[in-house]
Amino acid sequence: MKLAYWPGCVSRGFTTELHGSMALVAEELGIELQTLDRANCCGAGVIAEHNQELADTLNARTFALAQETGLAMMNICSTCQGAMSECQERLDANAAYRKHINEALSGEGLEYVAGKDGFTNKNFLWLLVEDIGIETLRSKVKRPLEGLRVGPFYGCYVLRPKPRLGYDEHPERDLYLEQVIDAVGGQVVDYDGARKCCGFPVITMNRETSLTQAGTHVGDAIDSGADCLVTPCPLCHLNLDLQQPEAAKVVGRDLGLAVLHLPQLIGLALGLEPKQLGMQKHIASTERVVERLTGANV
Amino acid sequence: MDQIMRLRRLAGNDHEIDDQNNGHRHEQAFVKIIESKGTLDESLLLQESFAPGVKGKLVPRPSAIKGLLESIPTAVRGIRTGKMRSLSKLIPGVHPKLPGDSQENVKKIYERAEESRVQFNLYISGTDEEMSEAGVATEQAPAEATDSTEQEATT
Repeated sequence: MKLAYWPGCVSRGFTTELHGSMALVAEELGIELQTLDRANCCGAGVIAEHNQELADTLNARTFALAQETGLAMMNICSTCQGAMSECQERLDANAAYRKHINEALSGEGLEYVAGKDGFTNKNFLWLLVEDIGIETLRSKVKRPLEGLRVGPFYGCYVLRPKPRLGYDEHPERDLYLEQVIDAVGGQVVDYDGARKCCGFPVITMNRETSLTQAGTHVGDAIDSGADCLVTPCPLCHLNLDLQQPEAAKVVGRDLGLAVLHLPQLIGLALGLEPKQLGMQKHIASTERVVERLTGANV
Repeated sequence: MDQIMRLRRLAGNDHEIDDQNNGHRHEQAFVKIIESKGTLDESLLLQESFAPGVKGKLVPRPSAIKGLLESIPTAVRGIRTGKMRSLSKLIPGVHPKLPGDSQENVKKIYERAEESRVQFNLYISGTDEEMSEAGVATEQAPAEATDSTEQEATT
């Protein structure tokens, strides 16, 4: 399988372990990634807030670059998925508007064509379940994550709003993390925060509210017996992991729960080592996860 | 959500309402960074969200200085583990631009879109192809409305 790959900004910024682990996991899964290195930021909803047309044009440019490759597109960031889906919805809704946007791309020789060759842009989580398949994933597991209790954390942008995110066609998208955790041999931990907001979008505006959200969700997962969380969103990771010591102060309790990127969880199950997957770069210690795997005597 | 965003656009861009909690400075910083770099310079975003113009134009407010100082322990942890251990992550503005002429093309997109500022004010359902099949005219100028995609142009 060959894909046009948009890693996003954060996976090459403050969470390079995500970009690195995705590259390793892709190889294990037989995916060839063609990185869209000329593509620009999706705007993360912030540029759309400033100027909708600007956000739509920037994302149309990325879609057009992907369409130039003739490949389906994959991203590894829930926030990119949400922001891009929002723009794609507007672009696909009106041919006159699309023409207007494409005029801005013509100088670069680019054009976004709605539905060209069945063009799709999917987050790795969606691609893993819908295109690779849970049973294929299960068959590739070399190190079942037995005994590892994993709390799913989706991130808002792959959950809401459902009509925009393809839930009509794929109604179980908000259950995929549980399916993946089960497929790699882990134990799903049910807790309150799995589908709530991590608080990241307001971290620079209302720090206390943001960190209360992050700290509450991490605390709920700990209280439910989780050894770690797993998320397909690097921005959620930043609030839940990078900010975790600050969140602990705000919610007034000890935390210390590892927050894995989705490719890291998959990578562990595919036999890759924690260090290869950059787990030592996390703020919240991942030692408990490693101990569980060692305890499973693999 | 789209309607909330529309109100925020009105508050920030048209009425220049800028208080500590409305995110206007964050938005302004984000937009400027992508125009000049193409992808996100996170350390510059952090600095500019709290204290716009720290490098020259404006005097940061005390609350902004407090925000920046509160971020220092997080940055130190990031450096220690390796998350933020490179010049481009530590020093605002060092982040690379897009390769080749891509950055210039992004700038041109900005120039056009900031002039034009077409925005939808609608609840979208379906695609124009579906509407065409239903006999609804869709080949209209962006500023005109269709049955399912009412739009308006603002400047």
